[in-house]
Amino acid sequence: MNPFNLFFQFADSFAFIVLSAVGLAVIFGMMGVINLGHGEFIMIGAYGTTLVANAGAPLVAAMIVGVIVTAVFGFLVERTIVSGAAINWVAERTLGRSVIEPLYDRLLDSMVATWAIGLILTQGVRIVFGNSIPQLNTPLGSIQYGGFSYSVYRLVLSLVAVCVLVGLYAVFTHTKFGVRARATIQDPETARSLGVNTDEMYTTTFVIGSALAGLTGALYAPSLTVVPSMGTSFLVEAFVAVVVGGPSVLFGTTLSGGLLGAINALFTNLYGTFFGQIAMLLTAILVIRLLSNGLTGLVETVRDRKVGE
Amino acid sequence: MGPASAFDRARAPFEGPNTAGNTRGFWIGFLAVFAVLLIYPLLFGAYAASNAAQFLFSAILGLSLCFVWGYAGILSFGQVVFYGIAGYTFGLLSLNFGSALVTTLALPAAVAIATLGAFVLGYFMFYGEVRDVYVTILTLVVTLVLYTFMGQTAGSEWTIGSVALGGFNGMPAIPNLTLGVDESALRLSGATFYWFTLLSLAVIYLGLRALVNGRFGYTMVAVREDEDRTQMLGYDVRRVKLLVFVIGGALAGFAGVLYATWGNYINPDVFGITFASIPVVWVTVGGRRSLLGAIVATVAIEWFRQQLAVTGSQYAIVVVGALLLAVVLVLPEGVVPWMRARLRNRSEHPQSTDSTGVVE
Amino acid sequence: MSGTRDPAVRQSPAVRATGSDTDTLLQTDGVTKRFGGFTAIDGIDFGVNTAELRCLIGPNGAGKSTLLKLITGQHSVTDGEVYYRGEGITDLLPHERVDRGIGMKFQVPSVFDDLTAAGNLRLPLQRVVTNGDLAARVQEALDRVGLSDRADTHASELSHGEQQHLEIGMAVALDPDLLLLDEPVAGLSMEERNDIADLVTALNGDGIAFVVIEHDIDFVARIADEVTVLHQGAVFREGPIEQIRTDEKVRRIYLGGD
Repeated sequence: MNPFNLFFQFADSFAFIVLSAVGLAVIFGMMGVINLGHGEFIMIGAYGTTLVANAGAPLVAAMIVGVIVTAVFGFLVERTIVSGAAINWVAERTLGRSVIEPLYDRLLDSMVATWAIGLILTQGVRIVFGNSIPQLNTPLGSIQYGGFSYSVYRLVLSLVAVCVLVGLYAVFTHTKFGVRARATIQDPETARSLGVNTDEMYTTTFVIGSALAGLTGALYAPSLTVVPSMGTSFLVEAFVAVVVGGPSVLFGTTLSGGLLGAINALFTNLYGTFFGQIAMLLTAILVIRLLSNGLTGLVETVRDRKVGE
Repeated sequence: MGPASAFDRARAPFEGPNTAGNTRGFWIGFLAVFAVLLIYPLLFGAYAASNAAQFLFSAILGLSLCFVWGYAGILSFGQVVFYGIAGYTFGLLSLNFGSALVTTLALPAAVAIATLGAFVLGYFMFYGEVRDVYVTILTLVVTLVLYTFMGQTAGSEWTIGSVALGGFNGMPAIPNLTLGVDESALRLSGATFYWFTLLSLAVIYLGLRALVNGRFGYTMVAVREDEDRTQMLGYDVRRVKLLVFVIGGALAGFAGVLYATWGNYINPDVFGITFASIPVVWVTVGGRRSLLGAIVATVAIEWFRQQLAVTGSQYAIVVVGALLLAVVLVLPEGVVPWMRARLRNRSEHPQSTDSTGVVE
Repeated sequence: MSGTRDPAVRQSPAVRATGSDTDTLLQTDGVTKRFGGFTAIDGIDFGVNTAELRCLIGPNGAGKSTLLKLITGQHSVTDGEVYYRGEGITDLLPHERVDRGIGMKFQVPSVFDDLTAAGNLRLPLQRVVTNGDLAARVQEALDRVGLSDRADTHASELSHGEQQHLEIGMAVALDPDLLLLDEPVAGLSMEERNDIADLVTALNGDGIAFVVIEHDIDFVARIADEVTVLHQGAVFREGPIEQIRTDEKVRRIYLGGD
């Protein structure tokens, strides 16, 4: 086993898991909403980027458009479906009453509703753009080492993944928004009484989560096949990472990205891609089974024991 | 003792606060619909019957999810796992041995394997204190693991006995459902398959009604409402959930065998993410706490999907998604309980409820 | 109902010390509970005797509800042991502790909204009663908590006080020897408080031991013989209610000073 090869696999896998999961993790951790359409949000980012780049825009500009399109889409979904605000606004003026209960903290209902959004998006994109669109080339070329060839772009992505984690950490700990958002998660009632507009917090959080999904789609647009059903391949990694990570979302996503990425890299190196995937999923199942609060739960338990000694 | 009171006594075990339809009128309607469905093949022929049969075994799959989700609060994306496992098991057994006897026994054997699968997964989850949304995600992950796994079994090394799993090409030539031990065995197809499926659905529906209205039904409702509370009344919540999950797995497995024998074919798409979501659509639309709603919604949605597919429209899944979204947002209880409440309000005085009065 | 006994029964310290102590029903031995670095319960030794009625008081965040949940098994201890009738029950699951005779009424009335009053009482009873006389036993349980005329009413439509009665009725239906009540009169009118006080006193007279968490010191004085004061996860004072009532330091922690 070639150590550089293993390291590359790990970095690649870590980046994929973390980038797949962050958007989902932020929305789940802050709002108690599971966005089962998360993979399709990523797909929107990828389509936005690919279509704009195919129209002749520079890749980076196309990526920015992809992120913005997904963020705007997220805003619309939050206002109409997750909070029901837009629909209720219309209903109150026509029927004289609101018709939708917000999906916040209605875990199972939010899963079913966002699942429906995902179904509509996949098929809708297929109807509009067909089963395939012209694909982008991967930029930055590749480097040769020890008989293997590595995509420089994929290496860059692993650096981006780390930057995204650090950036989010900074936003949630060092900005006014972050402080308010954390107050809202801990206790919405109290946050409201302290003058935090919790509705606005939820909307902003959902838009940030959507933008992160869009970023993931934009980043992978040049290196994966962009098709209507591509969301599924992100969805599995995203869920597994969030669930394995446990309640403290950012820290958890980092830990699970590390653990699952390592397992995936190791088994892919030894037995091929398929077994890398299966080993990762089996690890996830084991972690869920053995640690009911995920990896961050384990860290806390260890800390509690230490305090006692 | 007149026939009327005998009728009332016969329906007593199937009635209670946990299902709709506790009136004499309901049962007369039920028998009338059942009678019409019985003569359906005689009116429209074997081909129409065979086509209708798929709606009926889909309804069994729908009932299995309605039972675990609606009555015990376990949202499982994994009902299709047991459906697929049973279908593949039936194919492997019947194709490997080929005799009428083995094919007959393959039905209970396949259901047993699916049930065992549900037991293993359920034990793993519920005795490991995996809860709520984590159960849902775990069932989804297991479904996708099977999809990935079965998809890569195209090679010749994935041959069990003399039968190839076949990857995405699937497993063709699965024999019809067979009842008997030798050449005189009854091979079900067309109208006979339809009748078998219809009878099975009726028996399962009535059985579940009796179950949810009995002791176990009260326990399930309690677990759905509040696990901690139920625990403090001395119930082993883990065991209750495991039992529910195993029964749901067995029913899904039974439906899966009917599916595999109906089309004489199965492929990994039964574990695919789209198919995994379809039972959730049926049950959400019909009303997750309504067994009858699950059946009606399954038949209606599957019929509708087929109509759109026949006309070559790509919009079927978009319409299904939009329907699902509308129901979750506007009628979270589902369409059938909503219609029932509407009808009751119209026929009786407003605000009155029947003696059982439970929102089904 | 007799619970199956662990072959390797661990003896409580009290039993070990005196050889036999038939009076001690429940004893915690240095139980500790930490949540993510925060110590909610800090090495508490807390005992309840057979048929005793003990109130648990203390300012908000003192750890009262957490202590009850450690006794019922809803929370697992970080450290320490819980003994019931001399048997170590620290590793038992909540439903196994219920089978040994511990009952619990939650802080928020948590009856099952989807069921009627009779349906709620049926839940504990159907486990222990064979089908034939289940209806009769449900009726008996309804009478015991004064809800006979509300049998077919949905739990969600009962008044707050009736829900409290119903919930106590459900806990009592399993014939517990120890009943833990978490703020049974919070949010109730004076009249409803008196009803609950009468009910608790009557049940205690039937031989059920009680641990009652309560803020209302007049209610405590009305029902309790003995009071335990918790403060910052530890036992602060223990003694007869009159003595606790006049204790300057207890008064001070309630007023917010440390």
